[in-house]
Amino acid sequence: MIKKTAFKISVLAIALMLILASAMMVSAASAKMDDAANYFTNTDQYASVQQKLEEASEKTGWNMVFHSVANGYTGDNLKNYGDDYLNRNGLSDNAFLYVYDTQSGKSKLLTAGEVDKYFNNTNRLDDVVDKLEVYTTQGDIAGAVMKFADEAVAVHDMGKPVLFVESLKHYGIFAGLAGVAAGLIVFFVTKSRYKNMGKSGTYDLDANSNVNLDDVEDTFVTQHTTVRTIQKDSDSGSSGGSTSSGHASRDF
Amino acid sequence: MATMSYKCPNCDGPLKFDPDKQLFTCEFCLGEFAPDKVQQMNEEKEQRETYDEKEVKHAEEQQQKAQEQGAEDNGEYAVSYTCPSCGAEIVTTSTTAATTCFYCYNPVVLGARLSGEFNPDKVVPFELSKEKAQERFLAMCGKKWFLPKGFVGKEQFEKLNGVYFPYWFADEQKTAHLTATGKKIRTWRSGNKEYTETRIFHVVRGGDVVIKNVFERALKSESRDMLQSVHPYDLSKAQPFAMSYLSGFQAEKRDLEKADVEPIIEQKMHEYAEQALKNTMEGYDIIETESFNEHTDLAAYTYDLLPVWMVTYKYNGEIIPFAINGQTGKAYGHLPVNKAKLAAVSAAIAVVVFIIGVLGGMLFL
Repeated sequence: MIKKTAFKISVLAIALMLILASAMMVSAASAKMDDAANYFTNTDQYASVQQKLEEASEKTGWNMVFHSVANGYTGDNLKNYGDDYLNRNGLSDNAFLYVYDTQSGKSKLLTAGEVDKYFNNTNRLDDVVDKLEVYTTQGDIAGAVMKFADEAVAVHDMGKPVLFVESLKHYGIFAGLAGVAAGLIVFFVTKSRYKNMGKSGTYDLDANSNVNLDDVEDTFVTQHTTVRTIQKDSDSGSSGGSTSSGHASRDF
Repeated sequence: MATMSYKCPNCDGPLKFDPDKQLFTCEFCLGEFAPDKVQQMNEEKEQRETYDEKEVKHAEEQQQKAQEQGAEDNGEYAVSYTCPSCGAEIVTTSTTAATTCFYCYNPVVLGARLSGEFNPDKVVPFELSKEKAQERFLAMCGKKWFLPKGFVGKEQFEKLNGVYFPYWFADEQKTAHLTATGKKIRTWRSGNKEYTETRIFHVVRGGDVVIKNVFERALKSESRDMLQSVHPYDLSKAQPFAMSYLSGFQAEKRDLEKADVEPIIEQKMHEYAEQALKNTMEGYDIIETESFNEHTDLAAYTYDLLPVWMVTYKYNGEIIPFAINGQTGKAYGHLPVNKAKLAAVSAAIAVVVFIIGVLGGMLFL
């Protein structure tokens, strides 16, 4: 009896620990302002941006990170740097990173782990960048980061994308046209077959003819060779290199 | 009388040709007789009956009268004969050569229609019985999903008629000469390059070409498509014509003469001769004719009767014929389509393709 009670208490305790642990894991997400290039000189502005990221992190459960550097990186270099940054800081499981290079003036967004699932197979990252570009083209990086936080919440609220729905958005028109074409072909071919059933194969020339040749000539005249270059399909997926980030936006 | 009916030598009942047994049978005493025996028994009678000049003359007068009265000259005006079994009047079209008496249901052969210049050279006897023709047709319909409901009823085909239709057949021996450009094409890949090598040859073929059994219908009143499309027949099984084969079936005499069909047959012969020579140009991927000429050395035309099981059905106010080769069972005809059902299935296929397309699109996201 006592053993049974002790066993039940142990199970309850373990369950309680697991619940607490999972709650802690959720709350482990945070906002991080890593302004290594000292872009923000205005402390109020810095504080309001940090607060915005914290609010977004709270709402999404994502690690919302802003990091500035002064390396003059662009393109893949900036992406690789961002990947490396996420790995070094143990953020590769769940992070949405805004990395800004003050020297090149280029920004890039990177997703990692759990966050990546919200951007998989969609144009969401491009959409976010489109909205942020409104600010970055005016040199308003603070405004861009604030918008970055808002957009993170918006994407989180949209939920993880349903692959079928995304495919429908991208390829629905083509699939629809293919479907209509297939349906029309079936309709008209069937109708024609019913209308002209048994019309072919009425005469077998091989069985009813006989040829006795007395003049046979096969003379080679000329030859020519044409060459065609085969276009190889280029890779359209994200580039390799690092394993931490799932998606990286274009520079903006 | 210009009519014939074939009687059982045992009981005097009507004799009919049984396609399954390839024998003449009497449905009353169940007697069975070989075709040559029936022909032997009736040879004298055929001669006597089919050349009854009085009735032939009477039939011709009827034709002339009908034509004068304004009937179109398409062979469809009615002519009457007397049934040799019951004496009833048998009304037929001017091309009908064998039929069944409307009153006593005995088979009647209107011998005058197939005698003299209209005497066919050969006949391919029915090999497919009415029951088998029905089975073939119903089995074929069973595979057609879009036939209207109720169409595939046996009652639809109760009126299946065995008809011997007239055809012209031609065999020709030609001297032919073909000059062509032959192309041999070879394609291979190396790296990201695709090479296509085209070797061009001057090709000549000349010699004797024999083409047999080129056919054309000899009856203008029936659909040409139908009469041409029930082919092919195995003509090695053709028999010298004997009127007795027609007993129990309908038969039509020709109303298209050799001169009428000769241009069509000659055009086919020309095309077939060219194709036959082309077929000897082996190993080429493309053959382009530069010149082809031929002349006919020998030509032989025959006028033959071929067996067809035929039925007409009415659908949406239209009378549509359907024909089944009486020897091989090959079917030809216009089948009605249940458009609503076909549209529903087409729409379902469109939806399936759409879904597959979207699912496939997922692979490219």
